Amino acid sequence: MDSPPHSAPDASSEGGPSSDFLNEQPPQLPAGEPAVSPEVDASVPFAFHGTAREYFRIWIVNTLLSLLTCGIFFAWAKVRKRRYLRGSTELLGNRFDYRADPVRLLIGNLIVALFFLGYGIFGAVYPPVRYGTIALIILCLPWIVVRSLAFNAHNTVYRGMRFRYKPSLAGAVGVYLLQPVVIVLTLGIYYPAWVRARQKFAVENHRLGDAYFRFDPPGSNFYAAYLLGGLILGGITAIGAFYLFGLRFGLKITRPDLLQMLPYFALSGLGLFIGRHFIFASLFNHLWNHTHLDDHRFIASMKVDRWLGLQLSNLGAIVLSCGLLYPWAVIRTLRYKASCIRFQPAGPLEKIEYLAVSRGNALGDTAAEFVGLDFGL
Amino acid sequence: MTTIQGLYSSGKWLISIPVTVVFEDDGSVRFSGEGISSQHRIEDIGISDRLAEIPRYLYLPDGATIESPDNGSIDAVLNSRRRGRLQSVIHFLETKSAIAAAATSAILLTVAGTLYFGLPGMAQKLASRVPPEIDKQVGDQALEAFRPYMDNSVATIQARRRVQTQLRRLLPGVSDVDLPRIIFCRLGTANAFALPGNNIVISMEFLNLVKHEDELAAVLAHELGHLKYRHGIQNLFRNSLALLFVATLTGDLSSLSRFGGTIPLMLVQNGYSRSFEREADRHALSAMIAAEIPPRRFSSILARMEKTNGNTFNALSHVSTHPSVEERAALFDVGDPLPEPAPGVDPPPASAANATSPRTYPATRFSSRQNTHTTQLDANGGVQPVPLALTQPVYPPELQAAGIEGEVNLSFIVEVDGSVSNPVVVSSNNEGFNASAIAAVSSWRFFPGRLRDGKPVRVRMAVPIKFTTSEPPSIRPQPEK
Repeated sequence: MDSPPHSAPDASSEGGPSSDFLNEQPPQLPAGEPAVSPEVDASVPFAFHGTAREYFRIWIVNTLLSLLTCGIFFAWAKVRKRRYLRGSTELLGNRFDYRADPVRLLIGNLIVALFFLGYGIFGAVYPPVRYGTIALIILCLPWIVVRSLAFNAHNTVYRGMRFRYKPSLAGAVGVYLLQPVVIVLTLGIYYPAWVRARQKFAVENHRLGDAYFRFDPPGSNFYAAYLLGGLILGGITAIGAFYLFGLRFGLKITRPDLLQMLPYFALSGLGLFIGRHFIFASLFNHLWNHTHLDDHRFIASMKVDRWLGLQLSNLGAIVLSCGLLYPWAVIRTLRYKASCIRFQPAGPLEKIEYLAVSRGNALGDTAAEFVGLDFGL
Repeated sequence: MTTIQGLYSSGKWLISIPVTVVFEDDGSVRFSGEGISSQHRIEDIGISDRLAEIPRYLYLPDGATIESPDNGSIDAVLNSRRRGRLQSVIHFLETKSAIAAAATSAILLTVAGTLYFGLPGMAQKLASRVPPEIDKQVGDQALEAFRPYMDNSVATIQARRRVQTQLRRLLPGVSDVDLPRIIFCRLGTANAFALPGNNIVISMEFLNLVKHEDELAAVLAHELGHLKYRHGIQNLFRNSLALLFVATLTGDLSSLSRFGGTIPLMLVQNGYSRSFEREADRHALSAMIAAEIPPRRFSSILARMEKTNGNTFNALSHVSTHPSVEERAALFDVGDPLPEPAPGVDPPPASAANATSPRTYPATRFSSRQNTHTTQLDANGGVQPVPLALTQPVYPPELQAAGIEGEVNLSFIVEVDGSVSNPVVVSSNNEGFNASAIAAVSSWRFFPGRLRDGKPVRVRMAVPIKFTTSEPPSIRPQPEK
């Protein structure tokens, strides 16, 4: 079996400024916005070469193999699927590589599966177990997030160089345990600011070689996006509430059954779906336009209406095809995302130099996926 | 000798240099590009697996990589070195449309088979190994949800007696301590359900719907089926396993929390719930036949519950937790047709259970003699029933607070075992007292009336119950003339 070398290259083999990675702080940017270079011609696109046909075949064969092996092949399937998606993404002539060790993912999966089976069954018998588990998950959340980001970054490779994630547990505790308390205390007003802080935490601890990722968007756009998203959700939910009023006072149905409630639930679900994707699309450009890799920049140009149309048609296709069109939805989503982002180098990328660090943990990766954390990076 | 083009990255700097790689037949690998050239043994080089048409990577021993889209040539080299056989099998499977089509049908079949047979079978095996104490724990937890709705009013005394009578019919030879625990609730809908740990929850609204005690027995038989097959615990296992299974299938658990991901899971869980209902129905049918209860009683109460609760789910049987009423009634469509309601049929004492809405049982409705076979002991010269325990009725608090007094004349039967049955209101000057009066009378105990030869007989008695705010009313039941 040919497998890529999973260990990071030996730190001693290179003499760069590597040894003190964990404590190192990024150098301060020169004050003020770096001059936005007007020559857009300098920017290069992210190209996505994946096709729904290829991905469907990979997806279906690997899903079947997972089923036939009672889920053991699942980890290998996941690595193959991710490798395909990363390997289909091109920047400046080079593709991205995904080098995760399936065995580590498998171990993580097994632990999470056991954990949740135990939670579901023991929790029904002894509720304290359930509350204890939830408390444990909340307490472990910062660690899970950090580990998962680190695992993903470590296994994503560009031009033979791994991305890095500086595992700052203290920062994660602040973002994932302390700031949510602030959200509650401010009755949710702090929420958009928290999303910004969370994003900043995720982006700024990433590095590629010795280059730092930076993230400096103003908070006002977050508030605008969440306000509009909330209005959309509120508007659609209001239609549902109007429908309920109609049932209650128009048709005199005091206790509607599930079927009569169906339009209400469908509207609420749709409202959440549209609201969520509206917020994602309106923040997407904002997030990427304020993300830097040292002095290199990203330029994003996503259109909210196109993104909403894409996601709504994806949802319809997946539901109608009993999930079989899921790979198709993944491919067209990624293709559109890639077409929205351009990279604007401020100078030769070749100046970025290798640094040595520790690896991420597969358990954190799986656990974070379970909790449903998606950073959209 | 094979030659490929690639992009070299040193791993130390973020560089990308075009190189030409030459694989010699003797196993040495040379590559050269602008300012770079090197030589390695092919055994020392890791080569990434073939995956569709995405580029391959050669992982060099010094941490450098060479990226090349020339999949065909690399495969040929690996093939000649007999490397990467296992990976090439998976790649082969991934490239053939016919295999993808076959895999699609295989997955659909496996999924259907696992969800319909595999998981339920596994859940059943697991459930049978769960000790009864765990059952009880689960049931107690579930009961907590009903605590706010529990009804402990006097009306339940009579209700409990009725339910116990039917349970003994269905479970002859089972000692009283082993009978299911009955919990009465006010839920706003006519319903009854079984909870693990031998519990049956019955809504008072349901009891009011019962027009014949056989119907009560029919529904109880269904709930006993749920208890017998431990459906509560099985359900727990099935749903947990289904969650894991669907998660394995969709590739990640996070998709379950999303809008689209929950729909399949909901459908699966509804399907399970319906299969449990069918099993409980089949148990009810055999239990009713054994207890000589006409099976059609089940259909009649089911239809009435449906009408009252206003379920319009028949058209949407797939998404409902229960199969459609027509489908269930068909199962019970055996034996003789039910007799038309006649004066000889048992009265609906159900209404006694409803203490908060006395309007539902006007006194006149019960004034005619409903039960036959009581004995007039005066004529035969026997011994009248002797009261052993006469509970005072509870003065309805709102009437007491308002200072309203009243009198309820009741008629009831003292059974041969000394218990009271069929209490009915003959006349009443305030319906608000009826429920309390009936509840009190139902709990009374007598030494049964006897014929001259000592044989106990049923005797119809009458009693006026006075509610006065001044002094406790005296109670003197008399044989009815």
